[in-house]
Amino acid sequence: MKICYLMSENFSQLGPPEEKTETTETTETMTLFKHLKTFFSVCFHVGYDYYMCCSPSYDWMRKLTQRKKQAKKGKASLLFDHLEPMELAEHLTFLEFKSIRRISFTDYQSYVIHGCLVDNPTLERSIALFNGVSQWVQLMVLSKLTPQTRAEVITKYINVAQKLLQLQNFNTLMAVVGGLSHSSISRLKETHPYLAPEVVKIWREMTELVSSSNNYSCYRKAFSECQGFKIPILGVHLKDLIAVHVVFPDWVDGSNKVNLVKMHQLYVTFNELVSLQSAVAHVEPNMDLIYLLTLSLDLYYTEDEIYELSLLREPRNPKSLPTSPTTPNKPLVPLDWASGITTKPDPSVVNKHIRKVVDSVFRNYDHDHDGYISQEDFESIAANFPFLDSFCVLDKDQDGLISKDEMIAYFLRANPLLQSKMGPGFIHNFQEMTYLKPTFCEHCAGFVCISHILSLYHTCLCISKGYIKNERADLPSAKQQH
Amino acid sequence: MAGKDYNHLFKLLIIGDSNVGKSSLLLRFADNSFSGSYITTIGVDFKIRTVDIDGERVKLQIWDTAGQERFRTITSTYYRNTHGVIIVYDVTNPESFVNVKRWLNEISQNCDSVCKILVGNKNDDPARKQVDTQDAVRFGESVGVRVFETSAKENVNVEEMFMAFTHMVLRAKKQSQNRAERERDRERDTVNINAQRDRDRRKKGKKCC
Repeated sequence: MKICYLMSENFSQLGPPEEKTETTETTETMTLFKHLKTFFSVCFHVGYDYYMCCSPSYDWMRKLTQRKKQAKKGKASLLFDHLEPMELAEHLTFLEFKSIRRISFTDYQSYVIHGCLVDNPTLERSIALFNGVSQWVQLMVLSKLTPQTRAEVITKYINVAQKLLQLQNFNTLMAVVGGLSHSSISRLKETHPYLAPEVVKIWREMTELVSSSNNYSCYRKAFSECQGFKIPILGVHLKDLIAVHVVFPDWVDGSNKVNLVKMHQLYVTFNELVSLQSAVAHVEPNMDLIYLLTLSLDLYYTEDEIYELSLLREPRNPKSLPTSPTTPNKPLVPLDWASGITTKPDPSVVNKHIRKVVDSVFRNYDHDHDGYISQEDFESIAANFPFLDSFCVLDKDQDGLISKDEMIAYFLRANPLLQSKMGPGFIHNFQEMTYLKPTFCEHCAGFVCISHILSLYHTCLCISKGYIKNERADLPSAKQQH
Repeated sequence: MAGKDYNHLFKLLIIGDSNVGKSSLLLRFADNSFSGSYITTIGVDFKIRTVDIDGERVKLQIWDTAGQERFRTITSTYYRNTHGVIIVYDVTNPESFVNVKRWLNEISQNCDSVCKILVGNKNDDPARKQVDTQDAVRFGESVGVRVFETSAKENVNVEEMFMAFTHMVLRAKKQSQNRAERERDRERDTVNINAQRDRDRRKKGKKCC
């Protein structure tokens, strides 16, 4: 069924005049999409003032006009703790918009017809970004060891959420708030008392705003009241499309007539989503920060791993674990997670991307420009990547400095997307490894020792190359000696 | 129960992979089927039905997650205050059955105690069926979840499944109420014995009669 086709046909023939114009617009937008890449790269690189005039006047968009004045003096800090909520919100919005505007009408249409993702990389990528943001939020909170510091990170994200609302980016707002209300965070009873009352209040308001009650009525109201540039919660509108498609028949009156009610309703939602393509949002991104964020958002952990980490930070109180009346929640065996949950980009793309990140890391942290990162500088980088290995893991030749090549090599190994190609040598699986005798480890270029106890709770994730065959079960496991 | 047209209100959630027929199941069962028009501020909302169970009015609010399966954080927000979760797979799609484990796991992370039921939908064409009833039942037993096979398309077993599940949820509620009551009694007794032994004895005596 070609909804699109029927739709335009219906409205051009039967619709009132207003709708006619809108339909034409939709078609135009679709044509526009074909040239989208060129269109936007032109926008971003040349910064056409023409497009600027059409855009709503938001502060962060206006910045572009001032770009020449804003010659950077000194380097902006890329340290998570130093980043302003607005800075984070803007850059997240940049990434969000970049991803969401690529989704074409046919992508949405395919999703509705199939009821799932079938050959739909752009939509899949956008969903991956959404989930990535949520996971990143959870991991950044859980990376902190004390309830107090965890509360600080939560506060930071609440502030980011506020700014996202200000920027009318509801999709990322949902991802951030959703990450914070995920059970791995909401169960942290020791952390919550450290939150300031006003933060708790804002958090509650934000949660209510995007809550699913009354079919997201709060969000729907807020979204419809927003003027100008705005990004909807993709998941809510996709749900609407699926619901309309399932609920209403395509044909009415003995299969003679097209169901106009259905077509109109699909059209309303489609139009909302597709119109994003022609929206213009300008922000002058700090590309270093963009690369850094992209990599942070790509680090893939399973929900189980995140939940385990949460349990580690604040163990479950056995008393507060009521048994289910009928169907007890048995702890299930470790899951072989379904394939196809994450997107697997081309390794060469990942490779290129990592090089960019490493370049920007060096631009920002290699203060004396000698091509090496010292241990001191490293500590500040590590704050952005809570699960980065210790200095000596990266410093392969143990000269006390990390070279560019060493860092690139590390990220290539660490990047889970490359895992299938690189073998299981870099799995953050929170498994404890113990060795009978001091064991030489390729990653540390040294013996496994206590200094390699990472911020996580596994003794050492370094797995000597000599031991890697196929499974981790092959590894020698016994008491470690120091 | 003055002012309410029901004795019990339950929030039920339908989850499962994309395209297993969650919305269709709900469409079969929910009674406010939407002949009415779609309102942008409300969206399409079809999820309420009141049923009679042993002379009691049970209002069911059923939440559908169709279209949002991939948004992991969105699906996890639905679990709050849920009494029962219906996990749906497609009997013609083995992958959706394999993923049931994943959904069960998500439930256990988000709910302390909740009723669960496993539903194999699209059970209308034996030639296309790929998930054996036996396998499903065996798996269901291993995780302590009852299994139903339905066809929303042919309207087979849908009503039965929802009714059976409503029974389960209601029974669970009553059991936990009884348990809570017994515990309260026990606690009260303990406190009373320590603090107000005399009055407690009198009270206890009365209770026994």
